Amino acid sequence: MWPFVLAGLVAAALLLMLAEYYRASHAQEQAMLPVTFEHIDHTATGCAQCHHNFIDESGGGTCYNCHKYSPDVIGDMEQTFHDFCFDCHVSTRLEGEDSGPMRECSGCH
Amino acid sequence: MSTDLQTRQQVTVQALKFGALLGACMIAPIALLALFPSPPGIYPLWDWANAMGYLALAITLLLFVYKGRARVFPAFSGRFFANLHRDLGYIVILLLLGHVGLLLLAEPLLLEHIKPTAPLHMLAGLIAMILLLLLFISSIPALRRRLWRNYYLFRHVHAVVAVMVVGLVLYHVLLSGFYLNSYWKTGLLATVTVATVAWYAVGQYPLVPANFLRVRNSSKYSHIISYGSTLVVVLFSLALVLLNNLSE
Repeated sequence: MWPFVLAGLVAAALLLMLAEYYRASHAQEQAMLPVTFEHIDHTATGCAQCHHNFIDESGGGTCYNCHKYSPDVIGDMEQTFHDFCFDCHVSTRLEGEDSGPMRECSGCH
Repeated sequence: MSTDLQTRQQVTVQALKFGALLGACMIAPIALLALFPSPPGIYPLWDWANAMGYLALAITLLLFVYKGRARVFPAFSGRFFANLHRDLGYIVILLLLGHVGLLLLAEPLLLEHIKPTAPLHMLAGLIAMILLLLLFISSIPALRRRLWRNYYLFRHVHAVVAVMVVGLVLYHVLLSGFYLNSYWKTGLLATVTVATVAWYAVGQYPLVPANFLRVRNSSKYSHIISYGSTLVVVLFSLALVLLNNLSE
């Protein structure tokens, strides 16, 4: 059955590449969901955790200036923003403390 | 030389053994997730919907093992395993609908993740779902005979698309993360999935011993074993989810 398994894996990889190509070429058109974010709730987190451009001088202005409009990073925009939130919220919860939303969309959007 | 099992008690014991084996294989990924470090609960409906997704993955892998040939559990006939493959396929579709439907019910904003601009791992899941539905529709006996004049062509296309589904689902599960919250869990799940497909690709199975026990007219038992063990496992996963959420 090797030929069929290999054919299946190659076809799956091609489909994924096609999906990624479509996704990347339409990422800029993706509507941004409004986000509820209060700085007052995040004072325990270092500013540079999110505002990394203050120390690495990788860009200026708001987050969206790069993450939404720069072709280099736009493909990972959603993943990047989600990782910022999820990683902290999950580890906080695992330490037994109250955290913000871990996965549920409506918790932030 | 085979011996027939004829009494109700003997048949029940065989059916229970096989049902327990199926159930253990189905629950394995969820048991893996519950091990240390166990992920925190989001909320019961969300977690249960995802448990159904993991169950669907486990049963999809079982479909590669039980694909219509009586090699591994010789007490049952070839027809039994053909029926079992079909029943497990239907169960995967039901679990898939449960996974997607309950998640959308729990969180309507997830509709954003079934659009073409969704993250790639969600698109992988979406494509896998479409392919699974195509596999299901093209395998319905009445339709299959119309679509595929040549049975072997059907089998080959079915096999290729099934491998595509497993590849895409694995990508979807691994990249979705969260529940797979450590390298060893991720590695183990990926290894078992790849090993199952590789085992299928090699196509070498243990030989059936000559003096095995046989259940007469066993094909009718496939429904009760497959649906019964799935029901038990789905309820068990609900109990695990509730326990995980209540313990926080």
